[in-house]
Amino acid sequence: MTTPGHPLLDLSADELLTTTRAVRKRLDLNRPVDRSVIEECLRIAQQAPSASNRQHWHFVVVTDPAKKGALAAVYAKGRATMLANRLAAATTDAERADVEARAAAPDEFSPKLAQAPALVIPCIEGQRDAQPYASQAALWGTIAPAAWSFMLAARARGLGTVWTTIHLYHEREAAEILGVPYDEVMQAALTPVAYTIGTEFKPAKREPLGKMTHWEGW
Amino acid sequence: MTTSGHPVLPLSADEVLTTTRSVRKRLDLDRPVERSVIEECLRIAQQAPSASNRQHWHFVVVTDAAKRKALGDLYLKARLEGQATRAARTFKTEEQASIYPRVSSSADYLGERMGQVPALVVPCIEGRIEKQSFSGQAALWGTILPAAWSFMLAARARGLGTVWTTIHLAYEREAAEILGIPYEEVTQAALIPMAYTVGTEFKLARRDPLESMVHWDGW
Repeated sequence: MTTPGHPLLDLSADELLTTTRAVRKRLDLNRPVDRSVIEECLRIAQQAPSASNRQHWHFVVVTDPAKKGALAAVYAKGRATMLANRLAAATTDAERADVEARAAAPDEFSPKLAQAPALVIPCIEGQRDAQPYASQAALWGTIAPAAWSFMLAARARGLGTVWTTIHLYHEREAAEILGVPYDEVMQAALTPVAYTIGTEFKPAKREPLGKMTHWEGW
Repeated sequence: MTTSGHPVLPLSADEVLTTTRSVRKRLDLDRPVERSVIEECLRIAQQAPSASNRQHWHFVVVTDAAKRKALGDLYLKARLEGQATRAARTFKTEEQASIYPRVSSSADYLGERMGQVPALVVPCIEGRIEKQSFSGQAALWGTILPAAWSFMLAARARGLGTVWTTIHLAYEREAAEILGIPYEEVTQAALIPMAYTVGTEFKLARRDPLESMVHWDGW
């Protein structure tokens, strides 16, 4: 596995971890992505840990144009639902104006999902409302690291991804499109997979470390 | 950031992604972990994505002996209480079932020693996850968990071992009290012990065939 078939960018592990950006505008929608490179990334994803080593993760990979189009429509609808919810929850005029501006702006990203060479939906066997809450943490703690490893492995191969969740406002519709058994399996995210336009990405500006780190206590 | 202050193992990016194992028995409990190396890993973790770029993640790092012991006691209590559930566990494949006793014995070992691991790290996210819609929950988990995994990968690159655990969350409120975390506003996502590893050689793990988890163009 460590001698892959697909060319790797010349990135150290630290560079990989610090330059895997959320890629939206720099997705090359015209360049095909081989099934074999996606499989290579998935084999790497499988090396992530899973709760009790159950490996009850799943990845749905969509390349069929009709299904990609249908998922893009679910995503666009999810965006509208999210904005409507935010508008309803807004408590100030400034917040309302902000949400309305976003709603009025053209949705440039959703149509790209229909055109992306592949969409990947990481899923996990389990119940959305599993109780106690600790057992949900174990489900998410199984699928999320594997999904992130997949995206890191993709970046190492010149592919861009972006972690999105808003299609989950209408998860059941996505499950129907994909044949995912909704009652037994929950979807965790949706990412497009495409080669990036250029492979140079920089570390992002982040808040000072002190803001998010708490030594010995909050 | 990519010119690290702490020595980095000569591992390729793929090697880091494929050899970051759940380390329990090979945690070096006697070797202290410097604050600066933990900070280096956290700076790398910060480069993960967050929902709407809100960066509302937090990491509580515990090296204080009394607090580690208190967290370790909670972890062991949850571990012992889970015995019946574990005994009844079923697996998809015989191979998974045959590996499980080893995983379990390793977890028993850690259960007895959690409080002695040099550093305990608790990734947290602002908001109570269980109060959100499912989509909102996914956005919160999708913010804190990639950052936590990046932290663990960065640790591995520096010769540090970690293991993702969640069972202390059965006593999340008690853990919040020990750590002063505002429980009503902040959700804990995991408990990650961290120590230098005994030896730095780790192999790929056996995994189920790819076909059992990949679905092309539909389930």
